[in-house]
Amino acid sequence: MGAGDEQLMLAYRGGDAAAFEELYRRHKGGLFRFVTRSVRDRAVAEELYQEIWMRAIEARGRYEVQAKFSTWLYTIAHNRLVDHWRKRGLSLVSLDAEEGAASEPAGNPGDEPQRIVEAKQGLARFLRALEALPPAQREAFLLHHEAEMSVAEIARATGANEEAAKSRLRYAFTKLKEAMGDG
Amino acid sequence: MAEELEPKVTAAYRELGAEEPPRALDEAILAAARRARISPAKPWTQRWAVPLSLAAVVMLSVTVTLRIQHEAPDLPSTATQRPAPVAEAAREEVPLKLKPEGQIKSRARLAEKGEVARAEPKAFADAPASAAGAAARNDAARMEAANRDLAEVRREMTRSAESSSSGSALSQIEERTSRDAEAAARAPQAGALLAKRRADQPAPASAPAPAVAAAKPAPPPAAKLAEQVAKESADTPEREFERIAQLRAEGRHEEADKAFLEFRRRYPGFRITEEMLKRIERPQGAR
Repeated sequence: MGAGDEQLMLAYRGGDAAAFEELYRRHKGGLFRFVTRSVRDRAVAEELYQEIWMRAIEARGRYEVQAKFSTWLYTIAHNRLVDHWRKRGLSLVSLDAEEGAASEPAGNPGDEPQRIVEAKQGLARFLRALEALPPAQREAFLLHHEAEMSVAEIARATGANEEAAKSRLRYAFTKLKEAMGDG
Repeated sequence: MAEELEPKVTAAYRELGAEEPPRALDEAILAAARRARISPAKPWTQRWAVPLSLAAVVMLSVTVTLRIQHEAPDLPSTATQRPAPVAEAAREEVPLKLKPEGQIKSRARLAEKGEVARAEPKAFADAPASAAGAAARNDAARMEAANRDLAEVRREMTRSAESSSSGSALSQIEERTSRDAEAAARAPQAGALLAKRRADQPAPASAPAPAVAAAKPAPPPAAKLAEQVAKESADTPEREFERIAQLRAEGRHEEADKAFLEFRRRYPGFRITEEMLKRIERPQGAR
C-alpha cells in the first residue's frame, strides 16, 4: 500500500515533486467532476479547477495534518466556488435556498445538445435535476460522491454544522429521486 | 446513510461518467507544482529561525555588555588594555616586597620628574607596540625604578653614615635602611619567581603572535633583574665585612677604606656594632 495522502502532501511540502504528482493523480478526477458539475460553464469550471490546485500548491507551506487531505483540498475548492458565486451575485444564504430561488439559472437543454443526446433519457433528467439543485445541496451531494466524504467531513469542508450538512444531503437525494420518477 | 437508502440515485450518478481534466490542464498544473518545488516552502518556524536567532544573540550580547559595565564600571572595556598576567603578578608582588613606605614616596617623586620614562631600557623602547611588549615594558620599568630607589637610599645612607658621628642619627638611618635590606634580600626571590612564571606561562591569548615573537630575543626583564640581584648577593655582608677586617689587619688600609665604602654602598642597612667598627677602623697614625 502506498503512502497516505497526508504523507504525500508533507513530502511535497519538503520538496518532493513526485509526491504531488501522485496526489494529483489520485484526486484530479473527483475534483474535476466536483467543479464541472457545480459550475455549468465548462471554461469557467476548468479555470476554477486550475486555480484550486494552484491555491493548494501555494498553501503547501502551511499544510498541517489536522484532517484528511481530501477535506483540506475540497475546503479550498469550496472557498473558491463561494468566491465565484459571490462574483456572480449569489449570496451565501442563497446557497441553501430552495430550488431555483437563487441558484444559477437552469440550463436550457438546447444549450448543451451534445451532452443530452449522448445521455439516456433518464440520465438527462437526472443531470438536469442535479444542475437545478441549490448550490449548497448540490455541493453536499457531490462531496459525498466524488470525495467520498461523510456528513461530518462535508460539514467541516463547507464550514457548516453537521445538522445542516445532513439536511442538505437528504434534500439533494430526495429531489434527485423525484427527478428520476421514483418520488 | 443516504447512499444506502438511495442506491438508485447513486447508481444514476455513476452513470454520468467519470470525466477527467484535459491533458493540457494536467500538464500546466504539474508544471506549476514542479516550479514551486524549486523553492520549497518552509513552515514559519523554519523561515523565522535565522532572524530570530540573530536577534536573540544581539539582545543577549547587549544585555551582557550593559550588565558588565553596570556592575564594574571601572573595568577596562577591551582586552588589549589589560596588562599581561605576569605583569599583573609583578605589580602585586614586587612593590609590596621591594618598596617600604618611604620608598613609595621617593618612587612618586621620581615619577613626577619623569625619570621613570627616561630610565626605560632602550631594548624595550624599541620593542613593537603590543600587549605583550607593553606589559614587559611596564614590568621592566617598575623593576628598574625600584632598583634605583634602593640604590638612592643606599647612597643616602652611606652619606649619612660618613658625615654623621652621632649614634642616634646612625641608629635612625640603620633602622630605616634595615627595611631596605630585607627588601633587597627578598628581591632575588621575587625576581626568580617572576622569571620562572614568565618562562612557564604562555603568552596571553589577547596578545598577537608577532608581538610575542618579537619580544623573545630580548631577555625577560624580571629574569635579568633577578640575575643581577643574585649576583650582587653572591657574597654575604658578613663575609665581605670579614674581608675588610682582614685587609685592615694586614695593613692594606687604602684597599680596606675602598672596600668599606663599597660595603656601605652595597649593604647600607647592615648593622655594624661598636666592636665590629673597631675592627675595620683605620688605626691612629696608620697610612
